[in-house]
Amino acid sequence: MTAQAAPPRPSRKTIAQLGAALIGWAMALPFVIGMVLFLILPCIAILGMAFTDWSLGARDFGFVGFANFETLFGDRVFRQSLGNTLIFAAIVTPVSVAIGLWLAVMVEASVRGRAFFRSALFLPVVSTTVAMAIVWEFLLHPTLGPINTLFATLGLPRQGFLSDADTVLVTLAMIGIWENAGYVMVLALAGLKSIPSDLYDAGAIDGVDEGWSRFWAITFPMLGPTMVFVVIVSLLRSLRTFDTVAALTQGGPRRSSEVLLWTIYQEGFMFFRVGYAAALTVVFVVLLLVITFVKFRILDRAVHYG
Amino acid sequence: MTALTLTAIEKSFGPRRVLNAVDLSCPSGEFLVIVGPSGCGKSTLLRIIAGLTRQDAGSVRLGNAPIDDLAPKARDVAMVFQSYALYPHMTVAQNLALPLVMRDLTSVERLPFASKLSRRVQAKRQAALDVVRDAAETVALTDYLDRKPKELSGGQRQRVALARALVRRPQLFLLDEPLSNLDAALRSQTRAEIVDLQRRLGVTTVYVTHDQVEAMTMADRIAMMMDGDVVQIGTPQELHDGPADTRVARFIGTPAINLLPGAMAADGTVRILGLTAPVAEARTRSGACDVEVGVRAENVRLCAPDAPGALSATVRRIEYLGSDALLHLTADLAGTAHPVVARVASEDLRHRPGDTVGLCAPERSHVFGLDGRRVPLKPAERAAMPTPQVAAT
Repeated sequence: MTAQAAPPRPSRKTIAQLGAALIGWAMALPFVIGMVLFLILPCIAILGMAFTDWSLGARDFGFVGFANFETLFGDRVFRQSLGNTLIFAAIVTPVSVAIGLWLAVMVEASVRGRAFFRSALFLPVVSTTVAMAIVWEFLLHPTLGPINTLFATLGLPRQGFLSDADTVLVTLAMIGIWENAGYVMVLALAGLKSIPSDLYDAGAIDGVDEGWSRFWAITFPMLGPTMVFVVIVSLLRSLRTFDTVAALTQGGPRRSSEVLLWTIYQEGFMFFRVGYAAALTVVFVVLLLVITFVKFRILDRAVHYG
Repeated sequence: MTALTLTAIEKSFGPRRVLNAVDLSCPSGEFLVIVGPSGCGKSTLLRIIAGLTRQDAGSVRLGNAPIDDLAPKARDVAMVFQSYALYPHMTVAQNLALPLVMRDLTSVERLPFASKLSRRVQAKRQAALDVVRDAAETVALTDYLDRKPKELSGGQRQRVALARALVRRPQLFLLDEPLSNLDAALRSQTRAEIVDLQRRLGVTTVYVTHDQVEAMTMADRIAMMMDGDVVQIGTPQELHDGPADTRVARFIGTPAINLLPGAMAADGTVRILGLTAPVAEARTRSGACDVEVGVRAENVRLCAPDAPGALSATVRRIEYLGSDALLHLTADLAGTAHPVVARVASEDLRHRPGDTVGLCAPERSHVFGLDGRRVPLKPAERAAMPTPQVAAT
């Protein structure tokens, strides 16, 4: 694409080359327009807004330099929100990846009902989170919820789950795991399918023929590229978590489930402090970019065997 | 001593039957090539020997012991795959060491730091490493031990696969089309190297290929498979000079054998249609019937077009091969045109496309009944020919 679109060198400019370059540009144009309009301009706008004190609906605004960022790093709410987000991601990513991988291996190994399990476990990914959140709210209800009823039957103490500041983040993380594990499973299944069966045959003859030795010697290393992708995508997804928080807790109780996206939403659309929300967004995007960079530059190199 | 014995091996995949009661045995130290067109069941047979596929019926014996119920790793066989099946995340040394490590170390001893903690484990690892070095030396890979497979050429990867099969010193060596991913020049070189290696190690080898040139050049004996049956077993020469049926005759030898319609008279003499001279001496079967006469390109005899009793043929195309040339002819067989290929020594090449030549009775021919089976020679002639060994089917 880039080679097509690049303008030809002036010294060798022929009509044919110019024509080809024009056609290249013409083909790329719809995408380029879309990208500039909906991706690059908004990013620049956000970056610009982060240095202003604009409020949503205000007629004018003033530039405040780095004041928003200074406020941000001194802000207790931001620190709590960042901390919550990182804890959430730190629970959801490894656990959902481990469970998703386990599910994939199990589903792949199952003789019967493969299609059923695959669809059933992928359901959380395709269903609307907000709708599912209502189901979770009912399930986890402190007095009416079946889960607490189960706890009571088993002689365990009833839990507040979403209404208790000590358990709310972990509870949300469990829902996050439930959502993400199916996604991981589907990607891992695709990865498992691409492992050549010859490797397992060679393994069977070489003595790597069952259970863990086979998993560690062949399956896991061969899934390397898939797993790196899955871990990074899961990490990004869990850092971006918003809808369960918005639907179930709205950051509460006492900000104990406040996550970055919720803070940004609150600042921008509830408190109308758009400049400050923009500064939060910039910090958030930088965090995501760093993770993406690590994936492409470091992790990918270690796991592609060519 | 017999190293490998297969008795009445049967296998079906769903409704499709791929092996019909295959019997095969292989003396110790032999290089046996199983050859056949794709889909004939040869790879399935190899996988059954390795234990990767379970046969529906029949038994596999290695030496004197049945190995049907043993897992592949316990069978004391090694296999080289067409794709080489190297572990891409491991270095050459690790690839070669894996079979040894898995055999000689317990699961606890294989843990990452076990060799740091126990001297016994360290010694075992060292022993494995020595064997790996030896194997790498055998296939000239010593300088590549620290590389990953992706950093090697196709030929080097192929040698790693060979070396990995060597390290355990197996009783039986199985190779599944190991040369088909190499280019032509490398293939003929590697062919010689594999045969050399096999002779040096003296290990019984079963080699599967669809390439009859590989089969002819490498094998001590060839087992020719067609549609799930072993059609014929014999030395390359036996298969070439005494094909058991038309399928074997067509498959073995380049260019493919000429099969011409003919007739056998009541006294057993055979004529090609339109050719007045008999092409062969009397055969055992008596009674007049139609037959197919197989004539290899090198046995086709050209003569003047007006020679008495000769068939008339037109030269369509000439393939010059250096020391000799192939003449693609269209022969007139009692009114119907029939393609014939003749091999001519370069110094005798006086023909041009479009020329008319005569075909005389060939020096040597193979006669097949219309069922495709070979019609044997009279006993007197038979003594002079190597007897083809036909598998019971």
